[in-house]
Amino acid sequence: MQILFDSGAKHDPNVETEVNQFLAEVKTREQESNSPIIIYQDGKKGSYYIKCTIPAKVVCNFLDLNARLDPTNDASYRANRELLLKHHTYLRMRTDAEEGREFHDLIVEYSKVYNPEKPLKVWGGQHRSKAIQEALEVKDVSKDHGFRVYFGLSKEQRTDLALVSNTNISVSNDLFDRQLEETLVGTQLREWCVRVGLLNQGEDFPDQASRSERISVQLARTFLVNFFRGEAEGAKLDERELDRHVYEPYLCQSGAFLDPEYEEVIRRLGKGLWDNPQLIQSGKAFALLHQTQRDAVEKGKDIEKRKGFKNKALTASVLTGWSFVAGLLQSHPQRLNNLFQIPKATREFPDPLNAKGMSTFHHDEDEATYRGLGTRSSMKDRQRMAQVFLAKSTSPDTCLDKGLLNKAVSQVRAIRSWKSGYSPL
Amino acid sequence: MASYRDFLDYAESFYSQAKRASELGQGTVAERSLIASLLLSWIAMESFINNMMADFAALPPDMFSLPERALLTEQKLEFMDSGSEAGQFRVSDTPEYRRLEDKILFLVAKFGMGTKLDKGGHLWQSFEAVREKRNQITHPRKSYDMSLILADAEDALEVAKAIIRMVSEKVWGKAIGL
Repeated sequence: MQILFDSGAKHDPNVETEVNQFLAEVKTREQESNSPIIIYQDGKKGSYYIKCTIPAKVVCNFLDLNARLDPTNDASYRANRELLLKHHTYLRMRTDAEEGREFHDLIVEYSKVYNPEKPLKVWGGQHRSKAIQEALEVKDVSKDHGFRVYFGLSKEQRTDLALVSNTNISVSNDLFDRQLEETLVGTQLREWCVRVGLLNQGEDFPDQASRSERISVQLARTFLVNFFRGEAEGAKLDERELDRHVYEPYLCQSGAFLDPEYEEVIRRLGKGLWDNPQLIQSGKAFALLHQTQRDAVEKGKDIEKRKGFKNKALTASVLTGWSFVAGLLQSHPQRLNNLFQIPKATREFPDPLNAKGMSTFHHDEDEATYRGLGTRSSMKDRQRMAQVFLAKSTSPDTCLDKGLLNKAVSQVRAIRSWKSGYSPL
Repeated sequence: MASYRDFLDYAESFYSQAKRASELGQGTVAERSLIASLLLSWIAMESFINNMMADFAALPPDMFSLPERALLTEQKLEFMDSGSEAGQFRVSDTPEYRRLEDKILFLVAKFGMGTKLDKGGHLWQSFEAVREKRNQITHPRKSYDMSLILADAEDALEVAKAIIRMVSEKVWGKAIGL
């Protein structure tokens, strides 16, 4: 059959060879009708692809729903979001497929680098693909479906394809983060989280952090950035100065672009970043705090078993505040040691972060609708949480009781007023 | 613990109660509701100002002079005539409560970004009138007749809100929504 390059596509013999291999393996309707196959080239990224129609009974065995961003790296986890097989939208898709619906513009990559018996790696339409497979398997329904098949993708082209294919549906920024992290940085962040205990062995970052109880890519990046920002700031301050500033913990951006601060940390520190012993020590201390908090809420009798309480350490303001202060105190070892001490649980304070006390906290400055400390990601809350952990670092036995929360937030408010309006009398 | 917003809510609630009772000709009910409303408006101001003072008292002690620190913590400044601190002043543990107006003056003078409090202006004059009424209630004497009308409680509420707004604007640089 005839294979043609589109007028806008640059001729590439390797791509042509791959297309031939694909057509030899997967029988399309175009081949049956002896229609020419046209190779297109994406104007933005230069990726090559063809459009074709394939019956379900042919294509189903070739579809791989566990597409990887880095095919040559076994450490690369599946890049797409988890399949939501009980989601009403999926159930509707499946019913449609069983009733003979034909789907179009499913995005796949032809690659035999991994899992070669399933060479069509699905990048766009994984739920539709699953619905097609189930309709065939359960109801023996096989209809013709439209595919765009990509060939010879580079890692960058593949990531772009994954991102673009996923913008059609509701995809979380957490999934974008995970894909970009692996493509532009690698697997080091995930490995670092496993090393310090923030992820379990074999566990990946969640594709939707709000539904998960694991640290997200955004928060892991944020931890690193704040640690080094705090470290730089702390090195400039003597002990006396530490408590006279309002600090500004940073929250990394999430979504289709790599956060510039995180990018800068990676660029500046290079590979040494991941083995930095102080960062690892702080990561482990934070993981222990998180685990202790979880255990206290799961097992404690004197605390409500709320998800928000259990995962208090993973809220943006708590994590940013803690990691910034851990960096800040690198030049102040005694106070760092105090920060790392987890207070002994008591009936009054069963959990180290005093989640209930935080949730009912309110300062006169706050609007009536304020929901308490450690619940929001705003700068104001991040500043407050940094001050809470700074206050906690003043002695080893300090716990986050009401007095400490009051004092810390009062300090933030008072320092801000002091810096903007103080008049020596 | 109730905040200044709660006290303002209580004050408004008692004011409404007084208004209703007044319309129904229930003089005694109206009077006691007016007393409660006026006092609660004053308490709202006290609560707000005291908490703001506590914010500054949470700063490292050496950020303020000793008299300022004594004022912020409402503790007595004493001269030591014995012991290791002999010959020096220190802030003692003995409480020394300050007048609300002094605390307001201090906060505005110290953190008001250079602005001054106009003691001859309408707001301060209204504040002093409310203070007078409040003193009559809390320090009753047979030598004067304590007579309250609806407008007194209404004024107290308005003054409390205006003072809170004014101080928050001057010290925090933002007016809080009330």
